[in-house]
Amino acid sequence: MIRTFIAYDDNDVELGDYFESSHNDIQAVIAANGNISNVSIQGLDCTEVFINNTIKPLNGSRFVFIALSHGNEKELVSHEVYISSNNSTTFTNCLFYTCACSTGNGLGDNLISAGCLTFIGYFDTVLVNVDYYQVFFTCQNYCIKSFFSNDETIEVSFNKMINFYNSEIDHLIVGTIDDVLAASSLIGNRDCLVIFGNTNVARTDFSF
Amino acid sequence: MNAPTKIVVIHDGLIPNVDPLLVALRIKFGEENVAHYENSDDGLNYVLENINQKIIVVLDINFSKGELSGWEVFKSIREKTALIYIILITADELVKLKNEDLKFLINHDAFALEDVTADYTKIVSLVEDASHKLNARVDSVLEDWITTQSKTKREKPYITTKEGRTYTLDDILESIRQQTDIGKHLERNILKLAVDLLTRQKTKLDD
Repeated sequence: MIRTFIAYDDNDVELGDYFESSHNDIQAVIAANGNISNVSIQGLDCTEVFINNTIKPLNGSRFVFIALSHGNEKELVSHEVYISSNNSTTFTNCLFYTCACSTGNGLGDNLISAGCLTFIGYFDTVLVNVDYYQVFFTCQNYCIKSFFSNDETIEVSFNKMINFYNSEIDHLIVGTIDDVLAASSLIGNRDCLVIFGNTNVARTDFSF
Repeated sequence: MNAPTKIVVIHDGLIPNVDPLLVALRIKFGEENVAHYENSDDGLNYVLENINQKIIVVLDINFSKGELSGWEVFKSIREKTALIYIILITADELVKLKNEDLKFLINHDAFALEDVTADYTKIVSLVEDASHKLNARVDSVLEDWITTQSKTKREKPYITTKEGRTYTLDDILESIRQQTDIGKHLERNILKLAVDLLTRQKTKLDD
């Protein structure tokens, strides 16, 4: 059994629907896999205290944490900061996966230094074109869904995600100018993806 | 079709309406697209009020006392935007210009510096060159497309960042024109897309 937690800010004014759809997309893969347990943490519960209290009982066991919300170089944010250097030790022995802006440029290193096994995120601003939610979250979730579904290292899943981004970009560029602009945002997102820490972990490394 | 480029001539030594330079520019770019200001303050105000348009400024350096000099106009425009092309015209020999002023021109992308006695066709040619470069820029290409979209579409949220900011098409154009962080980011993405497609051989140069 693999323990997962998905924190998603469904309460956000701009991207609440996006984060919720993105959560449902990952949750569907988890639900279809009998070897993964999941705790979903909705926006109002995305607080530092709630997250710490939810994870601490694991006592250092390995787990996967997925954060779908806004962020910046130093922190993940819902209606308050819920992950930062304040609680980075909470994520010891964790595979940390986030779609937030710029966390690969600070917070990711901080988590790894505090004992997080692997971090996947973005080091710069992440864009979402409003009429293209599904394409954007499907790209952003591809790595973790592939990791849950296959016996492969996280590095393999990560590279498959880059290839998936490319295939979606290729579909879009033959469309309208709106499609091409969406493709340009996807390419910006693709190029600021980062993976830190141990890239050789596989899903079996998280089974208990 | 490209959105029109405004040519703003700020020069107190040209005869309004009949000066050969103004006539030639109006023939080339259209009567309605060429504005002439004899007063440098008025010319600067016009440029700053229309900063989101494609503009080329033909700017005299020497003005009467009490008015802004061409240098001051140049600096005031550059404080707001690096995307307006400025062609400077001077009656002075280059050796008489201050080193500091020349450095500022070079370091802040003056498009050209020309002698006031030069054949006016040379200046028209420089404006044509600037116009071509302007039309090939990402913000201009985007503007050409955005101006064909409905007002409703231009004003509705188009892109959201995961830092929590939302931009309409009009906001996007303005941010690229004013070279804000998000403007530069979007511009870079569009250029990246073109390079990426070429390097992955998804398209050919003659497509």
